[in-house]
Amino acid sequence: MTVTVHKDVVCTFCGALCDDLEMHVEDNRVIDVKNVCGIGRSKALHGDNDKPECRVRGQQATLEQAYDAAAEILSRAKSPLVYGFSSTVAEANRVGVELAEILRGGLDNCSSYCHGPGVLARQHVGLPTCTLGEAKNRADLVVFWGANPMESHMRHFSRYSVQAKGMYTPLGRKDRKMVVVDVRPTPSSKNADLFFQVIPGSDYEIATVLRALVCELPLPTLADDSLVGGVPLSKWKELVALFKACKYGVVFFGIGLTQSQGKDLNIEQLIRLVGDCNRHTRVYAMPMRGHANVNGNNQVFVWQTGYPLAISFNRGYPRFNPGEFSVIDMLNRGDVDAALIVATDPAAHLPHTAVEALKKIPTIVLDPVNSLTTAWADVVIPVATSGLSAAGTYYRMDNVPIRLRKILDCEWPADLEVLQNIKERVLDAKDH
Amino acid sequence: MKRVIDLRLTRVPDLPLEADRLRPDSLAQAGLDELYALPLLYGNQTVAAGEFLRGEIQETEEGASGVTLILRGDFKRVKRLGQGMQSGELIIEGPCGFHTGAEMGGGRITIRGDAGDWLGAHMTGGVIRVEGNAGHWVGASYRGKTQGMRGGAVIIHGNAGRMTGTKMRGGLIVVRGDCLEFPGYDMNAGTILIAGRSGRHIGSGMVRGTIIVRDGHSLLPTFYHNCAYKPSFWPLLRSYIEAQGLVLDGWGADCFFDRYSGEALTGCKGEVLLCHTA
Repeated sequence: MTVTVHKDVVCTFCGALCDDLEMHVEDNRVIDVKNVCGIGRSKALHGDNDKPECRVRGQQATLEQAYDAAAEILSRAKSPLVYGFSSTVAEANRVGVELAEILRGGLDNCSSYCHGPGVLARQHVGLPTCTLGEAKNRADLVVFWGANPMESHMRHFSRYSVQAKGMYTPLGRKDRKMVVVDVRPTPSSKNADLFFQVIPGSDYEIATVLRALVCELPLPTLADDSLVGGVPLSKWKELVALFKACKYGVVFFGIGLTQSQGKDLNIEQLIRLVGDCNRHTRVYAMPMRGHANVNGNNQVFVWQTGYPLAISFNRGYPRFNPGEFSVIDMLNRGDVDAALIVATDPAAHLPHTAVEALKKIPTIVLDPVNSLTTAWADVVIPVATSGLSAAGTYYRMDNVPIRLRKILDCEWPADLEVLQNIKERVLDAKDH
Repeated sequence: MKRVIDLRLTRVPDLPLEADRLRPDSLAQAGLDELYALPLLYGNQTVAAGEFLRGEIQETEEGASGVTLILRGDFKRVKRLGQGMQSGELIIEGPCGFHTGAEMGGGRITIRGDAGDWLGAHMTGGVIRVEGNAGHWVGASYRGKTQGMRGGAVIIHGNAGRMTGTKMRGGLIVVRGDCLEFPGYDMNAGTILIAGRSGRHIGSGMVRGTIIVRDGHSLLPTFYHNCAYKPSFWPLLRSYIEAQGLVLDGWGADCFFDRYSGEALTGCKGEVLLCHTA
């Protein structure tokens, strides 16, 4: 059997979207992958295997039967929720938004309990940011705050940030200072020039003190040995000196900051800190987005509805209110009577109470692989895997859109096709 | 002529019900049939109010004129009660849901139970009195807006949640009990009084306005101590709060306060007063 080598394939695991993978395909199966991290390799080798069975209420069904069942459930619902989309293409996201609007339902995505607070902060204070290419070529100071890329974005260091050799950083690691702020030592912090082990939940206070130091405001209640977030003030002064001395700094922030006490306010204060630093030198901030296209998901929601997450169409037009229309809150309160889940596994990600609420209502799930949710969902529709057997657009963590190619054939349709079929049936049901 | 509309919830909705049409000022002329026909949003469906509410209307010549709307039952899943009301009185005999009294410009709301989040968000006038606890974002701004509550008063006998008075631009919020973190976040003006324990980061990002608290253990280092004094407005504020039916134990008319100004990062024109003798 001939082995076909596909070069410059995009990895669809994390938000770094490495686009230099080399995939060896034999007999419509990936047999080897090069230029990839451990998780990306596993996803590439097994992402199109282990397809769930197409099922309606536990019984094997055809796709047509599954579409009909899904459309019937959704069009009868008084408060349906369309949710997920973080691991599917932007084109499918767009149809998902359209479907939610037709259904007059809720619409949310995985950033709601992930990097959503960072997106909300950006609405209030903006975001001075750059691309990963700029970080690679120019950054002489990289700060990771509440992020551990060695375990979550494994090639981030070598491709974009710490070790990458760029135009103005030809020596890679030697040309850069690396700082890590985290609540515990991590594999990433072992590489750092400066590591700040902080008390959980103290990020807002730390960012406030750092802003005061950058702006040279008096802090009469603090001496050099006073602890701020568990670290002496003198150490924070070292970090401020690094910020002021660098030519091009980038602060990468992770879920450690967005999901700890303060949430979006932590990010607001961090972004303001970065803004203050720009009075002295160039410093940028960038979220370390998790799921491969969760950023694209926010992008599509924004250009379709004006809002990035936690949207309700129940009045016929989009309304936005995190806390009221976000997935976990809606499920916990029992505000949903049917759910369409696309390209995510809520049973694995959401709190137990929300999963239990989901189990009590009719649930339709589109998933390329068997998951904890496909085990009990009322309607299960297997789909092609984005980036392997389905083409489309993903957005990298720095907002750069990247085109995914289809390199394998799949007997099942892509999310886009499934959503379009369900949408047409829902429209028919609404018309009659 | 005084008009009293007394309604009870016949069944607790199993999905959120949006009842922004239920406000006393718009029911000054309505008969019961008209009232039962009012459209409410139930999930994504429009339903008639009569599906959930039953009651009676009494009209008397005695007492002050005006409309009083009394709602009896568990309104926890009913949102936007009294939203945008300009006059009259709304009495909720039980708990109520999100956005109660949001954007109200006048009148009075009494809640004899717990209130949901965004109570009195963006209100510009009137008085809201909560006999139970309130949720998060009391008198706050909705996301994307730059100014929250601009006038009126919210008097809470119990506790309040996070982000009380976020981006507040005027008015008064009094919490007799405890308050979770970030009270007065990005506050522009107005007054917040927290008589119990306050959560962390009081007044962070505040531009102007006054926050009065009992303990300031979590005051950020960007607040500076100015003096200990006896503000002349305190006896007036205290008597106003008492006139609203709330007595603050231990907060005498002769209280001394430590005054802190902040936040330094936003101009230092806000003030936090720590009560000395409470």
